[in-house]
This record gives sequence, C-alpha cells and structure tokens, in this order.
Amino acid sequence: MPIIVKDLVYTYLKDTPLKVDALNGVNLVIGDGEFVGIIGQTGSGKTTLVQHFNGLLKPTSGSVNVNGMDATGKNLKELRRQVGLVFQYPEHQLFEETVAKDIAFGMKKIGVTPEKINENIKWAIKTVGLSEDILDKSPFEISGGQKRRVAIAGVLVMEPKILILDEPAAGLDPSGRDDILANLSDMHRNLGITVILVSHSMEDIAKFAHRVIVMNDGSVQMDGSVREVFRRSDELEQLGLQPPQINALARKLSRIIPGFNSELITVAEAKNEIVKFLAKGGEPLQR
Amino acid sequence: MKEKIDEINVIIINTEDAAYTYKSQRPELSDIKAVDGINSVFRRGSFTAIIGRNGSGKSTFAKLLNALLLPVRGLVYVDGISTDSEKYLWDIRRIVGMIFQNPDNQIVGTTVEEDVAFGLENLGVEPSEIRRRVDAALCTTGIKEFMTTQPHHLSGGQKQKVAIAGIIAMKPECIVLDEATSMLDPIGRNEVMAVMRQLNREENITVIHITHHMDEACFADRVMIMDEGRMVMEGTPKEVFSQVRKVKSLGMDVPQVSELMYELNLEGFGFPEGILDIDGAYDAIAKRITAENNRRETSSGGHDADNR
Repeated sequence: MPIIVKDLVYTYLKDTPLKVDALNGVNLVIGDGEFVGIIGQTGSGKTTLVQHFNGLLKPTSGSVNVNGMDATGKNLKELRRQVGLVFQYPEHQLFEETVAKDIAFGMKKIGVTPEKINENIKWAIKTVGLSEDILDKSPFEISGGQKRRVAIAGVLVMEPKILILDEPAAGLDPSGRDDILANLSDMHRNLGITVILVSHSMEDIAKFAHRVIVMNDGSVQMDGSVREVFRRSDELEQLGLQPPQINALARKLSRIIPGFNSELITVAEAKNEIVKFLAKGGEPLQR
Repeated sequence: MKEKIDEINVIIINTEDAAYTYKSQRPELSDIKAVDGINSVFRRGSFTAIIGRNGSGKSTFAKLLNALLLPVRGLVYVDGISTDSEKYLWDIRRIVGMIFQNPDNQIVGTTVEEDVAFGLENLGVEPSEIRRRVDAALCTTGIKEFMTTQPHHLSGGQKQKVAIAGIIAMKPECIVLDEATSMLDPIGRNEVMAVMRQLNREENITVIHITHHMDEACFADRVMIMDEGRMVMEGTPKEVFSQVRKVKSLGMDVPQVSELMYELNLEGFGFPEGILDIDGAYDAIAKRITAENNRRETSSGGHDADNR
C-alpha cells in the first residue's frame, strides 16, 4: 500500500497575478514501512508535497494515490485516518481543557469506543515518552517540549499507517529533539508504519532516515539512500543544505589520506575509521 | 577609585542574585521558580550565547534584562541603573533591545520601512531624523532593497532582519535575541547570525543570544548554560564544549567534531582539547595520520602502504 505520486503539479493562487508554482512535476513512490527524510530549503515545496498525501491539497494536475485511494476525492475520511500529518508547531493547535481530552478529540469524532480511547491514550502517551500524570493537566500549563509530544500523541492515537511529521523537532532543545526522534524511530521499527520526516537538519535525517528525498524549486532533485545523497554533498551545499560536520570532515580527510572512507556520517563511524589509521600508543598497527 | 569607575563603564548589564517566580494559577500547584538567583556580568561589546534545555529559565532571564519582568528577589542593572526604577524604564528598554522567536509576531508595519520606523514614531522623533535612522538601519542589516516590500512577502530570516533593523534604529547598546533563530531554516539562521556578528564587531553592540543551536553558540566569545533557573556553566566555547559529558548531562549537545575528538581522546590519543570546527579537527587528525604513515613506512621499509 504505497504512496504513488505521478506528474504532480501544484500552483498556489492559480488564475491570479500572484500565482506561484510550488510543485512542478513530482514523481515518487514511497513503499510501505519506509523511513523517508525530505529535505530542502524553505520554499522548495516540501510542505506542499506532504500536504497532498492526506488530501489537504488537491493536485493542480497529476495524481496522488495512497494505499489504493485517489487522494483527490471521495475517500478523504478514510485517507486521513490512514495518513497522520503532524504540522509544524502542532502545539499551537492544542485547545481542550485537559491533555487527555485533547488527545481523544480525533477518536471521538470518528466514534471510537471509550475503552478503546483510554487504551490508545495510554499507549500513545507512553510512546511519545510522557507519563500518565500529565493527562489531567491543562495543555497550557505544560512545557513546550511536552506540548509538542501531546500534539504528536493526538495523531498517533488515530493509528495511522503512514505518519508524516513536518519539522517535529523545531525549537526543541537537543535532548528533547533526540528523544522525540528516537521515539519515532522505535515506533517505525515496532509498528512497521511508514514514517515521512520533513526536516532542515541533515544530521537528524542522517541518523534516522533510510532514504532521503531532496526537494529543490518544486522538483525532486535527489532521491536515494543517505549515503548516496551525501556523496553529492557539493550539490547539496549549492542548494543551501549543510551536510553533517562528520561527513564534511571525512571527505576532507579522504582527499589527502589514501584509503580513508569519505562516506562517514556518524561520530561512531568516524571514530572507528580514524582508529584504523592510528596505532594506539605508538604500537604498530595490527591488521 | 578610577579603576572602579572604569570597571563600571565596561559593564553594560549585571545581575545580583536575580530571581523570578511565576505564581501558580491553581492552588494545588506550587509556584515555579524560573530564575533562581543569578549573578552575572555582561561587558560592553561582548557576544554571549546562553543555552539550556526547554524550561531552564533562559527566556525569563532574558525578560529580566530589559525590565519586561522585574526580579522578585535580587537586582538587575542596565548601565548601572536598576531595572525597577520606573523613571528610567524607557531608557532601559532603548538601551537593551529584544528580538523574539516568532518573526510574524513582532512586525506591525505594512511595509518594511514603516515597520522599522514604528518605534521612533512612537517616541516622537523628528521626521527627518526618523528617515535618516531608518535608512541607516536598513543599510546596516542589508535589507534596503526590501524597503517598500510588504513584510509578509519576506522569508523568515528577512523578517527577523526587519525586526533587528527596528531595534537598531532605536540606537541600542545591547540586543538580546530570545531564540530568534529557532523558527528559521539554515539559510535564515546564517543571515541573522551574520548581521549580529557584524553589529557586534563594527558597531560594538553587546549581543546576548539565546539559542538551541550549538553551532551558533560556537561563534560567541562566551557560552553560559542554564539549568533549573541557575547558571551552571560559563566559559569560552572551547572551555565549555570540551566538557562533553557535563554538557550532555545538561541536555545540550556539542558540535559533532568536538564529540569525535573527545571520543578519540578517551581511547588515549591525546588530541588537543577544545576543537570546535571541521578545519581544527582536520588539521589535528591529518597531521597525526600522516606522521603515523611516515613512521610505519620507515619502520617496515616502505611496504606498509602497499599492503593496505
């Protein structure tokens, strides 16, 4: 049940003098259970693209098919159940009296039983790394990081098969960011759902996604594994995207050290590679 | 005595045991001590980064610095004036300008130049003087080309520069950025940082930059880390980010290369401490590997390289 995007074109303010082409001919297939990162500058069309996946936007031309449903029409309700979309700054949309009511809102709307609602809330709150005593608090008296998690929990309880997050870590401190992304990664592994992560941070994408789609000017500029994409880091830099520090360091070292792996991404990988080239405490290298 | 006066002149802001508590709205909940006794000194022309996890009190501390909040205990001085002296309130707010997180919440004008002029108009500054100062502020922040543009057509980074220009026009001596880059993309962040560094260097404006981005903190002369309402670490970026364990225990990160060098040193490689950027790490590692290769070549008669 993949996402199939064919020749997708989207124009904002069509038929007006202010019209802007946000997507010009995007073709993509995202398979079940993939963890995909989408990166690109502001205005490259990332958000416009993912808003087609649950029918929030309808193609100006071309088509989007999700799990066999055409994302332009009749099945909108079912489509939105299967595709959970977490917007940027989702905590701005919290509104209920208590955290529990806020998380339950979507489930109530589609007539989920109270038992099932409770069960899902407990599960979701744990999945996003919060404890149950937050459930009775007002969403306005908890911290920013907690609000973000509550908002994500409100999407998780709908048990989406495809989860899309638009900059879920923006504005969070480094440990909050790592927590939320690690939770996502666990969910992806444990539930086998498709996760689509829209982010400006190449480091986050490198750490968690298996496949990277680079958007530029309304088109897909690159699409491949993390390593394949970082191999083209000169191009990435031209697009205003900064590869992770470690990757830049590895490429620089590989230019003067024969045999040094230029495709390193994480600190651990870089450490292992450097240790290979340096004998410990002056001892000759064992090979 | 003269030394004492000089010392006062070089300090723009200092806090003495400053504390702030948010009163709880509900009787069953306790009050929240957001800032819990901070002693700090900010020198004229310095560039300080304040980092710390969400809820550590950074924004509350920032609001104490220009009398948006008054301390419930202790004192905050701006240019030697305590921020609770009502008579000088507007002077204090002119001296210390503040930029907030969301660019859309701080723009009021229908064009860029109008927005930049807003503060001056409110103060009743002469129209010719307003024109002069607005033009100068637009030039300094590099947004003169957008002078007549409507702000909502600008990118996030450009909007923040409009907000900065509005502050610059007021001729402040210090600018506090309260997570002003956190809603921006990497390009927008670079634009804002470039303007702030230039203002700091060329106009000698004191900068206090609150951020979650460690790469931005590396540009500062000094990094302070807040935790639970207190200042828990302070030093140059080198001094702070070389203490990888401690920084991480405070929920912060260090630059990837600093972590790499730290990890290598745990293996006993003895690289110099406090490497923050790619070039520094490159120089240190390349030198060692080259030396090691040469050593091996001489000791094994030059065959070593062929075996790899």
